[in-house]
Amino acid sequence: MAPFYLGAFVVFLLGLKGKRKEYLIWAERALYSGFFLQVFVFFLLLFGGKILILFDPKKTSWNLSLILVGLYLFLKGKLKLKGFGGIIGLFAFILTVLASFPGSLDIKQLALHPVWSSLHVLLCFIGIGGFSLAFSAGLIYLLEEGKIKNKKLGSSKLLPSLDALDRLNQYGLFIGFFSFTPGIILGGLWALLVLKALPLEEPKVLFSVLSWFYYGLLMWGRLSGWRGKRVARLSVIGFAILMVSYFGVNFLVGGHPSHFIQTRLR
Amino acid sequence: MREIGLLGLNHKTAPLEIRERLAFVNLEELKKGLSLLKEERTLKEALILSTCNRVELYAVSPQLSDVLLFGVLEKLKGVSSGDIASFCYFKVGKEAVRHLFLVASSLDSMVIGEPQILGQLKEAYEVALKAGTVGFFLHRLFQRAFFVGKRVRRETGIGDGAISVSYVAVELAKKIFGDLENKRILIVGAGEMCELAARHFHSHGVREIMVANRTWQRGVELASKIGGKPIPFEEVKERFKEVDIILSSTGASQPLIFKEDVKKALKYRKGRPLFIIDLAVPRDVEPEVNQLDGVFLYDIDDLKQVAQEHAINRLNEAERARELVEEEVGKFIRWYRSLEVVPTIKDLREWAETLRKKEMERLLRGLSLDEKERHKVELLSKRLMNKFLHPLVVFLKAQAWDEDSKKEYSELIRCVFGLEDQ
Repeated sequence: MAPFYLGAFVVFLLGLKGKRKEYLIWAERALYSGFFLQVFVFFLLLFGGKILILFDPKKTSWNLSLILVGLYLFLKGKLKLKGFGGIIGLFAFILTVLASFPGSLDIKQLALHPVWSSLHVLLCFIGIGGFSLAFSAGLIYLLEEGKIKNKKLGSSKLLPSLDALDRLNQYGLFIGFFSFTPGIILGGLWALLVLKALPLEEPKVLFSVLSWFYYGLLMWGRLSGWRGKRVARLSVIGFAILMVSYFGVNFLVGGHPSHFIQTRLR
Repeated sequence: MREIGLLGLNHKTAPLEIRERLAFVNLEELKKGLSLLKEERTLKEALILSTCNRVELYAVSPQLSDVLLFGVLEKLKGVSSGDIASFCYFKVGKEAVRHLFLVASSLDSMVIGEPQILGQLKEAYEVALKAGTVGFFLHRLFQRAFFVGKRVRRETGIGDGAISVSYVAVELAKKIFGDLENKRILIVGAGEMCELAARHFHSHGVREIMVANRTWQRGVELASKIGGKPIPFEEVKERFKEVDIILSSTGASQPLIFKEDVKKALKYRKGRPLFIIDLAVPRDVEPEVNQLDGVFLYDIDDLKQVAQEHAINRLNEAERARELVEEEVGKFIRWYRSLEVVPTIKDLREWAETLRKKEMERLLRGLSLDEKERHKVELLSKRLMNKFLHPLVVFLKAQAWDEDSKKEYSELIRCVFGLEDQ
């Protein structure tokens, strides 16, 4: 699926460069193809009994790309988002490529409390998927806003309106926050169940809680009427924090919180 | 292909007074015209396209000629060919197909890329279909033309970007707000420019239009014309908090809207974008307003520049659109020519079918088979026949686009299989 996602982005760029709107349609088609292929692989793994591979912390990005593209395709019709698929293609490509690094999950760890841990991981994935969507919409919002302001519309005419991007950002934040919150709570309960305490000294847990507070603040702003450039900017910053808490910590410190729990139990 | 053609005139070839004389002004007149065409023995099929910029008579006839179509037009509109001949064009075969495809793609329109022509073509086709003057060829030709029109709009930017200042303003508003239905607009001034732009916004369904003018009465007049609400001029700055679009065009010699005024309002807007259109010369809005976050200020020159870019873009896109039209003309011609080998293919199939049936009869007389077995043998013979014929049919169709090969190979096949006697 990575070549499809990359293809979607490349065709999207070519379309913007040459102001060819049919290229943007092809970019969307490439994104669809990549997504359906990924869903197919997902079911192959599911029915092949290899589902736990999907919970490997170093495969997190694979799931994220699936959820991100899925959420985008779900919201596309609702928000009349034409020609935005190429951007999502870029993120999906990066995420699927990150997933190709070797994994390190001891599957036994997840078997500790399969329902709790699976739900926790799934909800967190959907949450980050939503935040990624909010981030991509925010990023394009900022770029497009600059172009309209400076009267250099160029190829931005082919992209969705600022309002559509703002609403995509809003949906992304809502989906993200309302999945991430129970995901974090479940994770906490899981830790409490096993350790009788919250492992706040674990960097990943700490960053997750920090991210949750940040997005909570952003949600409060959204609900009290914030919108436009301000929210777009804050979504981009929020996503950077989230990336540090997930990928940064994963690659620097290593491991899923379950590793940590396992270590503590020993 | 020489039996398909058209006679017509348009905004490029004829002045308005000539177009007026030939136009079919309403549906009744068009229907009447088509019923006259139906009685015309020399025409197999016919269709009339009448818009404010063109009148065209499409026809299919074995004796198609300009004289024939001028005669028909004379009967329909009572104008002599001598009076109108110099304003008309007559196109046959490939030229006629190309012309129709160009019309459907709005490449022959006064404003290149305008979307109305495709609807007008569809309407003309529907009326002719109901009148019973459209047959196999025109049906196929017009269906293809609709497809080409849509394809050109979909695959090129020929219809993208407004080319008039007030439409550019509406388009920019849509770029910022998406849908305009829930938006509020404040009009400052009651001049002609304001009225025109306000009408465009009104037709795009903005929720509320407020009109503020120094002279209260003129403000009230404009508000009633465009379905808006008059507000006192002194309240203008207060309204910045709530509106989404401000359209200003007053005759003031100094700016009326300052950065500080807008900045104050932004505190209450919570990041909601504000689009300010300044159509006045000298300008009504201080240019520094554009520096504020979430505020988009466009003056008349900015709008003109965008319109110009769009016009240039449309011209560039027209080149690509013409290439697509040419490709589609080629496809249609190939399809049309393939029809000319159809009689040979039909005769060949009939010959093979007769042979198959004869041989089946002979075979089945000597065998005692039940119904199921008979059916199986029947099926086998049909399959074999189709498999033998398939390469021949494909070959003949492939030769159809070349006039000489088509004739030569059709004759060869007729000769080899003895189809001449059929």
